[in-house]
Amino acid sequence: MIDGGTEVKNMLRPVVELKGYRDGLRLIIDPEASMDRIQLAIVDRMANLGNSLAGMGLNIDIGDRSLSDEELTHLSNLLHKNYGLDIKRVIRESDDQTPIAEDLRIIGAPALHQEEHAIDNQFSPEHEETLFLRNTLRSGQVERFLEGNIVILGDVNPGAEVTAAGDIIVLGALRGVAHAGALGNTSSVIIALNLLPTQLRIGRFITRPPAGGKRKRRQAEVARVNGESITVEEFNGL
Amino acid sequence: MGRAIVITSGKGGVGKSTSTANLGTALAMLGRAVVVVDADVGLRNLDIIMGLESRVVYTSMDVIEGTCDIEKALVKDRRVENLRLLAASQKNNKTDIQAKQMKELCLELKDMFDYVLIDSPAGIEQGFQNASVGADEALIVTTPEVAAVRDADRIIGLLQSMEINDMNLVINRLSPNMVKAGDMMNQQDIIDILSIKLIGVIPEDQEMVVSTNRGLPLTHDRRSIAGDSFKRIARRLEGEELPIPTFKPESWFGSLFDKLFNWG
Repeated sequence: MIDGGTEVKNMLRPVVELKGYRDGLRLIIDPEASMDRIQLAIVDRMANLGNSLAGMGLNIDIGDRSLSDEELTHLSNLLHKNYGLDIKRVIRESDDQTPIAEDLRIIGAPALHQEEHAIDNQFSPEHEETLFLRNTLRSGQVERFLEGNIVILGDVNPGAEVTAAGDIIVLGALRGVAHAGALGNTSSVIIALNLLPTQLRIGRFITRPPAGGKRKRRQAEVARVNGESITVEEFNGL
Repeated sequence: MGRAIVITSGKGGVGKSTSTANLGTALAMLGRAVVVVDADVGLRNLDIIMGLESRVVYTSMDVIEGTCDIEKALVKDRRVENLRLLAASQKNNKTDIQAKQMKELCLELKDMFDYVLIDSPAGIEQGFQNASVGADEALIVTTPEVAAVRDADRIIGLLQSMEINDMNLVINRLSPNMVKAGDMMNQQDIIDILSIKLIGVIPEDQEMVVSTNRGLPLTHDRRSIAGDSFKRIARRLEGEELPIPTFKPESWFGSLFDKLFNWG
């Protein structure tokens, strides 16, 4: 989460920001920064995430800067090769709606109107949203929600995957893979009535249950980052 | 209008075709008009398991292409009066049949029979899609293995997305000795994950291999517990409320007991 007062925030505005929106992941680039700084900032921002977001589409918000085809190709390669992210759209302030980089199949899109932007522009604890799923996720099913938290009224079966930018709460058995804080928020938690996961991820941390252990607990448990690793304990309120 | 039921599993080798042959036989023995449809185009073997290989002249491909009437393609069973087989073409490919054609074929068969049992190929590709597209309900076959249950779970998710929500579970080849030793998943482990209704448990039985090789479904053998389990599934499909027995590990006394008395 980005912290600090408004003044400090303005001064230290990050060169790139990664946020979850209704239409997918968005990489917001400081219009003033040089390409070199942008590249460094992307590497820096993604260092925590590895390739955990691989396969997702990405929109780039370039504000009022201009971006040559060459620069865009470069960014596209960087994001694709290292993190498995594919640029879908380039969002920009200008009214010019001609397609950008047609051979890359990247579409140019105008920036959203100011008021829409205001509604959409939130991933902070006060404004985060929560997705409710009222069914069991079965093997092969993937659920991703990058605007906030996921609550599942059912099970997450082995072979199923659930990813959220915030917390993941399973009112059932969690047997598959869960990734909370997927945009890097290591204060996110994973809670399940029956926590028997294949693998747990919070931010950049990954853990799996000890081999061979067959636990059958009927006690809700919470997984959270403690220091440099994920720990699991009985859930007695946060 | 009859019921079209797809018998499917995701994983191969768990007993889809064996279940189709035995269940078809059991339902026909209850007096129902039954057709078993082999949807495994290119790898047909339902005809072998039923011992009807030498009688197959036309296949579902011929019906779809209009080469012959549907009545002509239906192979009459050797033993049970009202049981028919519609074989799959061995020389064609799964992509040679379109979902729409399969749907029409099922509709036609539902008009003629009380039960249309569709034997699905393994996998989740077009063969499975074609087998399921004309079905109203599904019978999921699994064995007590982690990999088989995983694939069954995937299949259930796919069937739900095809709006087939009426599903029953058959657990095949359960070995009570291995469950007791903790080497095999037990009934409850499987139901916990799949969370669909259990309609039958078939105990592991070496006779099953013999019967499929001979082309004589075990349901015909009155002494076979596995065969009897299929008869009970047939009665449950007919709406009878029958308890599902739990199989005890074999002891000499236990097996003697089973032989002397009519169990559970």
